[in-house]
Amino acid sequence: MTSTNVSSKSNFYFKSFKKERLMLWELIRINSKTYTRKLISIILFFLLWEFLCWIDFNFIINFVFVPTPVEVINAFIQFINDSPWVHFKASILRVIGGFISGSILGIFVGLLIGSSKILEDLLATPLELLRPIPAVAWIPLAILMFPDAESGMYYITFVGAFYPILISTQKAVENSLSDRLMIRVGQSLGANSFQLFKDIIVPSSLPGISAGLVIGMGNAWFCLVTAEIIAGRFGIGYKTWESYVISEYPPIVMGMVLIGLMGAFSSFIVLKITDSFMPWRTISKDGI
Amino acid sequence: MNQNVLTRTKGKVVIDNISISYSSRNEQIYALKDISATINPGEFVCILGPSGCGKSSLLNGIAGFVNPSNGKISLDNKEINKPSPEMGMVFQQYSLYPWKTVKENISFGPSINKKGDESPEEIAAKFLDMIGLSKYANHYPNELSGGMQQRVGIARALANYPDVLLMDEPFGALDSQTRIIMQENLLKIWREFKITVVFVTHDIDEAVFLADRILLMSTLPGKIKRDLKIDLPRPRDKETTDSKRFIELRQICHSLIREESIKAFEKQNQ
Ligand SMILES: Nc1ncnc2c1ncn2[C@@H]1O[C@H](COP(=O)(O)OP(=O)(O)OP(=O)(O)O)[C@@H](O)[C@H]1O
Ligand SMILES: [Mg+2]
Repeated sequence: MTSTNVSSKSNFYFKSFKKERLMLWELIRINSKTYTRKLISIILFFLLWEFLCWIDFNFIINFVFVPTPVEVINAFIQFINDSPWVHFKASILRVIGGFISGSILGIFVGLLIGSSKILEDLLATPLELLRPIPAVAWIPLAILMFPDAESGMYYITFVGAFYPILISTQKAVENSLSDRLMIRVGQSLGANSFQLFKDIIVPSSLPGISAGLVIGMGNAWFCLVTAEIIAGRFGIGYKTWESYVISEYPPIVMGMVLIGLMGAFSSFIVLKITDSFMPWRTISKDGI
Repeated sequence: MNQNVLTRTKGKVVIDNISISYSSRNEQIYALKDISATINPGEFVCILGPSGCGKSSLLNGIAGFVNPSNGKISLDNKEINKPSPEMGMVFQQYSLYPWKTVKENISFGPSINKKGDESPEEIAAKFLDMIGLSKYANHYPNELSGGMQQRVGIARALANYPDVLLMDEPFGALDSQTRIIMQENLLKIWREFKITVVFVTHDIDEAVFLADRILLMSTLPGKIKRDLKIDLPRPRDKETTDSKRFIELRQICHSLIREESIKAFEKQNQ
């Protein structure tokens, strides 16, 4: 049974050096099984990939042109030796910029249309009409509407982050509002609408909002390649796209892997941060 | 609070010929019909009746969560039409806020209606001490047992110093040992605060043990079938439950409830 106690409140109070060390050791011991399993899954994944390339697998899916993991690693080494930081920096800034503006606006509008019928009637329909438009379709307009390429790219990552956050927030708020008991408790204690909103609706919506943020972060990376098609020179997504245009295959896969890794890592960070806002939750899997 | 004990004149609930109906599936169902009762300041009244007879509906009416379709309910001559901190409520289900610690759950009420010169934190500390859970001040509700959670629920309702405490089967989910201890503690608290308590239950022993008066309800639509005075001496303890009078009163309730339960069962079956 693997159980993660998100809120080790009592440990927090009896913090001592010795105890801390013991806990860390225990933590490693408890988690080592999980880590081993995760490591094995990754190794198997790469072995399968190498194997399929090696046998030139070609049935429905064609692996003949797919670069092998080794080629990809070589492309990566070359990329690292060739001033990669401008690319990293450009991409990370675009994703963070899009994600943060998407979060602020998504949560704000989500709280509004989740809690007010009037605002929902006024805002939801146009937002819903724009939602299915894929990021690629925004490229021409983004170029026309924004003063420079950079802000157009921010806009496209923003769109990617905004919608999942908006929808999750709205649904989480509606779900909280449907919990009549929680609201009645607040009313009987004398809370007015604002206090109900701040102390009850918002905290009980946090798990849903958190899910939206994690998906939104992933989506921002997802839209990065699209956004950087507009770019002139820099960015991981741009690198990927450029390699495709000049038919260099290993860097394409390298770009994909890098985006996947950074996307997963930043989603993980978002998850950790949002979890720290919800110390009351005890999550135990497998041992249900 | 001490001055309240001496001059307890607040906390009078008058239920004046009310009916409560729900419309579900285009049908108007009367949960309660033409109910009248007066509950005096400082009185401990139990509402006893079989499941589905409208006990929660009546309590929700008093709390101001549902408005009666006719008639009116008033607290100290003021008509009730919305929930207010003058009435504390302990709910049938566990209802602590999971995202607030035990202490924060209790201090939530005082922090939003500041009155008197005690700070919300002081009030929380005092009530935690009273329910014997000071050690758990910084725990979250899901780290507590059901009985502990319900104690916190009671402390939270009392932290606003309400005039009336409404309790909807608060001990329904507890085992019988814990329940008896909780009942005795509740009586202690009630003696100290001398507030009006309206306590809903379907447990006859519980009602007879706690109440000054039992309002026995009948089913569909709910009515008050009998207003039974419980003349057992106070303070009550384990010996009370062995006394002859206790057994007599329990017997009376039993036979009245039995008729009702059978009727209710048949009606729900139709
Ligand atoms: N929100 C609602 N909508 C429609 N009908 C309701 C609603 N709440 C209660 N009722 C109906 O009113 C009647 C009384 O319900 P109520 O909850 O007051 O009973 P109760 O005596 O508290 O029962 P229990 O002891 O099981 O808690 C029931 O027949 C129920 O179906
Ligand atoms: Mg009920």
